[in-house]
Amino acid sequence: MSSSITRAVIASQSQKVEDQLKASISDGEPLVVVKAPPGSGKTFLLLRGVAHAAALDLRVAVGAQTNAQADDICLRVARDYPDMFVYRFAAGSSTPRDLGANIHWITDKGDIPPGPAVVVATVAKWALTQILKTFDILFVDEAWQMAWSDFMLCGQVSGRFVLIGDPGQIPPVVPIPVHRWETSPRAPHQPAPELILADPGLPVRLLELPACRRLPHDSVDLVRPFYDFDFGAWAQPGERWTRALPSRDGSHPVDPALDLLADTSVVAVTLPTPEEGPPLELDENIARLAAETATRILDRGAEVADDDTGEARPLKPSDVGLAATHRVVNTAIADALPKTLPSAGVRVDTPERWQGLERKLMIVVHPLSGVTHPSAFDLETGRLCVMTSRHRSGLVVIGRDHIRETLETHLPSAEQAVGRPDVTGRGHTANLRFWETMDESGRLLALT
Amino acid sequence: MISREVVRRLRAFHQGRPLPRGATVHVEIVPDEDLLVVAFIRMGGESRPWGIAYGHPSDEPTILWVPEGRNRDLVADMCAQFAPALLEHFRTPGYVTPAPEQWEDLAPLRQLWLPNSSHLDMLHHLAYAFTFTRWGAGARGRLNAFGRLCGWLFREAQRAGEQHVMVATDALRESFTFPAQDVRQGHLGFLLAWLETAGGRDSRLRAALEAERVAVSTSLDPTVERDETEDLVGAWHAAEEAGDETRQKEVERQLGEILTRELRRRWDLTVKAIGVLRADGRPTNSGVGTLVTEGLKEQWYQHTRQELNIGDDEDGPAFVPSPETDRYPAAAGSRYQVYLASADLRYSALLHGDTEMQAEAIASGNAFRGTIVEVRDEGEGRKTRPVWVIEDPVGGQLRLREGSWVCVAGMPKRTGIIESIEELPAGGRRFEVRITRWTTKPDRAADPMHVGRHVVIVPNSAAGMNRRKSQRVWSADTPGAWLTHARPQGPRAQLEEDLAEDLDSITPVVHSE
Repeated sequence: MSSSITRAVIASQSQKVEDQLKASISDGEPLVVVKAPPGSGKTFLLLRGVAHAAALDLRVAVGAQTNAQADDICLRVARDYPDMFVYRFAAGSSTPRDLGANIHWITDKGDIPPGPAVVVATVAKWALTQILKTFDILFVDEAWQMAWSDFMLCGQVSGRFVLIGDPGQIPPVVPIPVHRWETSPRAPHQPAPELILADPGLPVRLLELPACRRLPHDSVDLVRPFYDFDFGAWAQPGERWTRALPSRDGSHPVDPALDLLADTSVVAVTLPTPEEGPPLELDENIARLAAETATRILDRGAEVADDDTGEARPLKPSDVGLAATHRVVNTAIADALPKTLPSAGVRVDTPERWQGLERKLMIVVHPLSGVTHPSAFDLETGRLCVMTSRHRSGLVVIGRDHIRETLETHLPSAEQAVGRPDVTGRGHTANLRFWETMDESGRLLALT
Repeated sequence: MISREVVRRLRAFHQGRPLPRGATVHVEIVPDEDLLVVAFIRMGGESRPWGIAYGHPSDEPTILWVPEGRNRDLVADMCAQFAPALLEHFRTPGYVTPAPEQWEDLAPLRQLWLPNSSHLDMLHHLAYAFTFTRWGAGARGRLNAFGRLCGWLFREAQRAGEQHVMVATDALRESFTFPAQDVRQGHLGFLLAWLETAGGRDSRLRAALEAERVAVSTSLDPTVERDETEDLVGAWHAAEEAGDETRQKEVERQLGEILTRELRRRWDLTVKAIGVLRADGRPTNSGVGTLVTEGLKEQWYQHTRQELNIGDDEDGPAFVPSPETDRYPAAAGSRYQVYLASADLRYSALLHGDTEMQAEAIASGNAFRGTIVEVRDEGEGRKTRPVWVIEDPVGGQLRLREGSWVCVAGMPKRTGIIESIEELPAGGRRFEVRITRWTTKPDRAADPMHVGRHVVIVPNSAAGMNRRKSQRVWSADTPGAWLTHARPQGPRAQLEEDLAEDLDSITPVVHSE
């Protein structure tokens, strides 16, 4: 599939996916997995499925990966389905939130009605609650963030599952050595949908959302190599852009890169790599450049177009996000920003925290900027994929200028267990392709 | 490597000597009678041992070896000879009287000390070789038990915070920062030379480089194997073929001298490392006791109980795990959650008792230090709901968020939730922490007397949650078990009984069909 498929085709294919999901629910199919590219309407589809199941008078459980995601699902229900009554099942120690008139906050499992109901909780809550009556179906949001061992505990919630997620995002955090389970048929640390899809004996219906609706057209081409399935772009070429107005107060080294954003949605800016190599963790210059880029584009009074109307809107601080993989760099970026910007809505955070969120303009520090000998962890593409798929109109990638050479001269070793996919090698290829594309399409500007 | 570790390493380079790491020692060192030192050597290209040295530090070691390390029968005989000592040391049912009946019977802790990680790998090789072996007629049961114990010890060594299997190089590196690259710090002689040599950097470095030239791993130095043992092994075969027993005995004596020398050096270095750690003036971290208790329970549930063949409602059926991996989903899921819990427990248990670890946690944003500036009680009636307002004048990076579970350093039971985080105009942060446990003892958390107190707030351990998951994951009487607990299918799913765990012995317990 190319990114140039028409909106009519995308709309038709999206409707087909929704119809297939609903049919699966109606027919009592036990297992559905939905692969979704970034910003493709995962939550929209999930809620369509939930509403359909609720209309069939089923007992419906929804599992989110974090409390914030569970709250977000409830807020979407309150906005889009004001007639659907939903229970937000939370920890006893939690502080109740007002999520909408039709969202009822409960902390006692005894308050879950025994009949048809829609109940939203985190998967951790579902895993550790001895529920009194099982559900007819469990929907899991952001399912690629859930390790198989956590999913196993969801077996007590229901016998039917709908797992929806983005396979390109950051896999579950694994803070311990897992050599013991590298060859296990059900490796407990692997994303649950991956294990399910790898087992040809399971009765799974696989659906794929057809297009990314968030990213500008040319950004979709850039992130597609991070995925093992094809998808298109909802945005048409040239429809989404970021235009920095002419400078009124001199120039800044990053100005040419900001000017480029009028013609392309992604630009990369590099600083020279010191002879002794990039700083180990905290790269002050890179952090300062990221902060200055955000400040500069707001100072220049940029306009953005980020939807189907092509209408220009002024870029506000709350439209801007920054991301780096190291917290210490994020702290340095936040410190380098004018004090007024964070309180006005500029957000600085790690890619883990950016998952599921979006901004009109993102400024990100490339994960390999401080790395000259990439490890398997460094070459895993989830972080880069998240960082480069949060923007609706523009993205600035910042890094040291060694990245291409580092990738070209690095030979990844195949350290995976026998019979396991070469994730590191694939990550290396995807990383290199991303940087080559930026370089060869003239979207990479080297500052001195 | 995080920045703080780099700084620590640079300081060690600057001072030209190893520097103490942490304000406390993080490993238990049991008395000699509970401590077994074991060292192995193997023939080049072989995975099984050629010789074994074992014993308590205060005694002379027992040294076993065979003239031909490639002869599996001879090696198995040797292992069968060593097996009772190891099995008895770890109070294995059938090898100790009376047999333990509960985890408390396994106290006091028994430890195994090994020179470096290659000796730990040998436990894995032994598990592969003997767990399911059908060889050995009368010795088969003993060898199988030996293989199972080696397998458990190897797996246990991967669990964070465990105290049963001590790799001497790791214990030294945990306790000291050495002025050397990581790759060189796997050599026990190298580390001990840095620690024990008097004088300045040059003399220490010289001694370390000298020590490094002599092998301490399970492999013999290639020059020793080529110049000293190769011809003797050939001569032993020739004598055997010729039926010349006298010659064979003479060659065995010569080989034995070499192998004994090599084994003894590895064993002695390990004993020396134990001595260095015992002589360290730092106190043992108060959290180590918690880790020892956790380790004894693990020994019971993962080894002793299996030997007694007692199933457990919460920890699954008794079965022999495969040396390679856990193929049954609940076994894999449960162990993974236990390892997660153990990593969390280790960090938490040690953090409360080590001010340097707390400083590291603050530097990396996992904790913060501040002063209580206000105490409120938002409770109604007799119910207390204390809230502490804490100001941290420094700020810096922070991983903790609103909603994070925390506790007071040194008081792990006084837990709380961060309700709000506010950046202060002059820098630093203001936290509101609602105290959720230990609200009335040892002092009332809502008492205004806390105002002005300096506190370090650290993450609360999530180990209990992972432990509960590890137990619940065994429950297969659920509607989704058809997917979550399905027995693996397809190629290589069912392996021969001498290769892997018997899935039939696990699945009937959790699947009635």
